[in-house]
Amino acid sequence: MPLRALRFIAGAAAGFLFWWYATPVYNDALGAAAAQILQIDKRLCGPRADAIDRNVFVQPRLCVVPTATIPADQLTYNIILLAALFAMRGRNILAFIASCVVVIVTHVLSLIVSIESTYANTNGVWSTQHYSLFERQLWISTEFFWRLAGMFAIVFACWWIAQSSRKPGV
Amino acid sequence: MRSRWTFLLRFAVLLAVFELPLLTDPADRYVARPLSSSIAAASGALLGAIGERVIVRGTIITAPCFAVDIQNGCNGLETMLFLVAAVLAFPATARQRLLATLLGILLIQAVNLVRVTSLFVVGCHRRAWFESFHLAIWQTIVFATAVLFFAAWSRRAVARA
Repeated sequence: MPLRALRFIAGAAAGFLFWWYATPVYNDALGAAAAQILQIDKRLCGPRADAIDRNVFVQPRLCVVPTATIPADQLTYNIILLAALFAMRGRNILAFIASCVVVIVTHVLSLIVSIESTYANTNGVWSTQHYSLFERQLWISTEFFWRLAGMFAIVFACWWIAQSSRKPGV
Repeated sequence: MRSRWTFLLRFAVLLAVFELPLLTDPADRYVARPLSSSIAAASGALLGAIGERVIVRGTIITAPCFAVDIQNGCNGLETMLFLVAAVLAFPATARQRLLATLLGILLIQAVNLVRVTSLFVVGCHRRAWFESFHLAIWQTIVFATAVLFFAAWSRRAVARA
């Protein structure tokens, strides 16, 4: 038990350091991936999404649309819990890598949701002209759910499935 | 393996059913805010006991050096619901579930009280660290508490069955 606790703490520390120092580079990659997908939303006028410090700065290129700054590091810190949980039981590298892939995909999706939610709800008249009430509620609800519980639920789900070769429980 | 996917499906549905109502005004007014106010009062008392001069008004704790407003996401409610969803989704007896829910809620609220209190101290004395502690560190600790509690409980529940 103490060994597992130590591994958990070491995993959390490693996850935190990775999250802290890799965020600017990671945000750049996330921004690029999210911007590619957001090209399909013509309201955002072909956006660019570049990392600035720990944020992602969204800048539409093809027409005059407000810019947005997304605190993207607040969408990705679930990697700390992922590292901590998988560190508790070593020798599960493949499952850890697969889980990282799943979590990275959700990071891209959560950045897209966050960008859409920001444009749908924080740009006053522009928002109400371009997003219906239903869309505004949908984007902000999804973002709220994701930030409060979803981002940890996905980590828990990955870890839970990774235990499948062991007996039920943990 | 199949039972694990079934568990996850049940968990996801219950989580959505429990968490989404938090977006509504009545849930905020009658559940989240009273809980946040109670946490602010308890945290204010704890801060007073360790020598911090604070004033608590509703969900806000203020001092000359710092102030915090305890909102959704900081009252432990979403973590409690996360744990309850996991406990209810897991195959166990009603008695086991009830006990796990009560103990889990107590544990999460205890950890959350330490969180709010320590965050106030960090905000007061090391303002630059506040944001990192607020989200990355403490949010991870609170959810890790829920996940580890559930893991330990589910192992025991299976062993007893």
